[in-house]
Amino acid sequence: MIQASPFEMRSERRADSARLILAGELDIATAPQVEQEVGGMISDGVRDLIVDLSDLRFIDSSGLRLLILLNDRATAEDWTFKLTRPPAASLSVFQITGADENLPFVEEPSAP
Amino acid sequence: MDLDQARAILNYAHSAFISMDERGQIVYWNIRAEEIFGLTRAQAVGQRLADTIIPERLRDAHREGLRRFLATGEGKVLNKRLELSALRADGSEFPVELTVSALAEGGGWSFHAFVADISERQEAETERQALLDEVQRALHGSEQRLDVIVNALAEAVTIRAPDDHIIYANQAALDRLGLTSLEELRKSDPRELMGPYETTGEDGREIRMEDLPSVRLLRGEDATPLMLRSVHRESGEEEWALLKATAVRDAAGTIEAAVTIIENVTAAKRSSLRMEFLARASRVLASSLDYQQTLRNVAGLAVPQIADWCAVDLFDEAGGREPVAVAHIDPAKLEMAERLRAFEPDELDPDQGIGLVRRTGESTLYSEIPDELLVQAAIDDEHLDLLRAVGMRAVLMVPMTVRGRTIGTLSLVSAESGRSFGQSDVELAEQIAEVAALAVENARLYSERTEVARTLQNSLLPEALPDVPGWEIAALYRPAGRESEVGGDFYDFWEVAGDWLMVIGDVTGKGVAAAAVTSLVRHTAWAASDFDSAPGRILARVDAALKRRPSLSVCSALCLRVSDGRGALACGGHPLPFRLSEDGVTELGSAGTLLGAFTKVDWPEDQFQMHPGDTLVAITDGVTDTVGANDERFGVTRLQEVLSEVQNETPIVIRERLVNALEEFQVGARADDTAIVIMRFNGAPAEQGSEGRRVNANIGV
Repeated sequence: MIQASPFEMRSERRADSARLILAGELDIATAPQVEQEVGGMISDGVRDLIVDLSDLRFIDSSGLRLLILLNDRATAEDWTFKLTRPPAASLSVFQITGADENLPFVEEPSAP
Repeated sequence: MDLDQARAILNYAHSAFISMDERGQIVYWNIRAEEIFGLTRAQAVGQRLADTIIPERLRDAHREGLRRFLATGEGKVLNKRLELSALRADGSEFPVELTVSALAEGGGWSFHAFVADISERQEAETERQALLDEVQRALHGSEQRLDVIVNALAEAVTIRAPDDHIIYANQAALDRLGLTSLEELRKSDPRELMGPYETTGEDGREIRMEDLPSVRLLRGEDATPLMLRSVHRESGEEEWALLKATAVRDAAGTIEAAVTIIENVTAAKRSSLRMEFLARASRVLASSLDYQQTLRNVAGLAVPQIADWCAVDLFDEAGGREPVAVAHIDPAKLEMAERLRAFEPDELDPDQGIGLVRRTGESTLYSEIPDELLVQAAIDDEHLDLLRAVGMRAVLMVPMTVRGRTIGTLSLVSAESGRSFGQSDVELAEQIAEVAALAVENARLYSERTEVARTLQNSLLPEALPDVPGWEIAALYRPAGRESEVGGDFYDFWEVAGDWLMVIGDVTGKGVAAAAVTSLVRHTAWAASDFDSAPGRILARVDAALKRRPSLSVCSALCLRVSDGRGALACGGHPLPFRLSEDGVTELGSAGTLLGAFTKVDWPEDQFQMHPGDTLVAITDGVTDTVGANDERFGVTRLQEVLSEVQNETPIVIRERLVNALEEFQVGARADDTAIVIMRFNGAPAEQGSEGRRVNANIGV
């Protein structure tokens, strides 16, 4: 048994735009849920997806692979994919791998 | 023994015993007769029987009967149980039960009668009749058709009187009891009604009459509904019934009778037992991949609920038979099964028993096992004795089939329980066999897969760590939880032009797909190093190779090259290695891009110098990502702490300490693979005092 990671996912939807908020740990155990959720959103007509990583406490190689995969898929299927900056706790993985320079991060004013 | 001796014994018999000669005079009168009739032997003997104990209205018939017997030898009353009225000395009448026999004695006849006073019994019966009449009146009074309705009920309904006799039974109840009329029922001893059945509760314990809800009610005890299993001792037929009892009370609240509704729940109970058994069997089968053990467990579940014996045999590829499990509730009997096995031929007979099931793939039911069948099957007398000792009543053998292939059989044997097997038992057994067959197949596939995985995994790691001059190396690879899957972590060492290259990496993903990527990474790195052994350029080649794959193939890797104490390293999205030196534990190198993933890439190469006693530790993220209590990760800080404690130890000791620390920390199963490479520099061979090297070194300089 793989221990359940503390992870939460919720989404906000406006027309064909959606924001997927990932909080906690995106890892080998939770990545499949996110993949399924995004797959559902896209087939449901979402063309503009922002994945909010501001509460992402941990990410492992499986989680990172999923973000890369989604980015590749968005390019191939012609929808837009954006990520918000992760907090310091999980930022190092993005820096170590070069993901911070390659994935489409957007700077957002922090929520009021 | 002469007649007198017999009479002496009879004198103290429980029944009255009276003898009469052919003239009708009393010639013998025992003590019990004195009590019953109120006449002493002295008073009775010599009297005419007709005048003494026969009521006046019956005397003519008595005399006529005696006359006819003496004339023709025919006696209507002889040798049968009669119920008649008799007369006491005080002139009162009372009911008796008697049997009369005639004996030819000394040229004439004598007549002998056992007489029992049955007034108490008759009173009880009269009372029951009155009660029944009352019940029936009540039924008729409230609703004319109620009696008809009760009789038409599918459920059996009985009414039991306080003396435990059953005084009423509807048609269904009579049918259940195998009786034709109420009369017959009323005359029956209530205990005898249960006689032909082996009666047990749900827990398998015997149920006696005292346990029946109606009897309990009549005794003022609590009467919860009772689930009852009865097996007919002769036919082996099994029935499950649910008994519910209600008290009938008089105006004063005294219990007058208990009404029992008996519902035949055989079908429902069997199906729920089956579901229960199937569910438990499935759970057991799914619980472990050790199929031999699980089959033994399933066989154990089948007894004694489903059968007295349960055996599982598997066939091997060559058609041989492997007895896997045999279960009986009594362990002593298992020894018998062992002995029986010894008699079994090596080759299965395709025309009978298990061989037949194997050949046809169809279930075989022997609902009766006549002795001839045993004789036919027996090899010798000892075998026959053993077969007879088992006491088989019915045998059911069903195939265990997977994708049309019969891989084994499940055999159920009924013996001492006396139960028979019906169609529903065949269906149940077939269902179990199907689940069991699947479990065996899964287990076989799993072990094959595990074998494949192990082979594949081994092919992805060096067979043995190389002997790198001047370096002492230890490595570790631990796969995540399941051994049937190939992990994505790997490490490798190889030599290029006198330098040594080491790669440690982590392909994201698992299984055969990840193994293919791992293989690609290793081969690409080997090939690339032939042209250019600079770590950064090797990683660039690997990155390009990964990107040529049709699907996203991502890998993190650390590549380093050492030549004596000098080294160079590059990182592709991989955790940086640590150097354990006089300066403590420090990270070496700088981050580079993850391989196979991105378009903007950079693999900066860093040079470093190792001093004798310095150690390099490279890991995969399975180490730092290890999950402990409260979802905490092992992390880099803990790793550095552990390393600083052991920085002067040998690589093997460092590895042990690290593994211990991880295992102590870890909660739950490993989610990710873990790979560790530890390299300690002991100084260039020349510095170690090797003469030959020194000479070479000198010449070289």
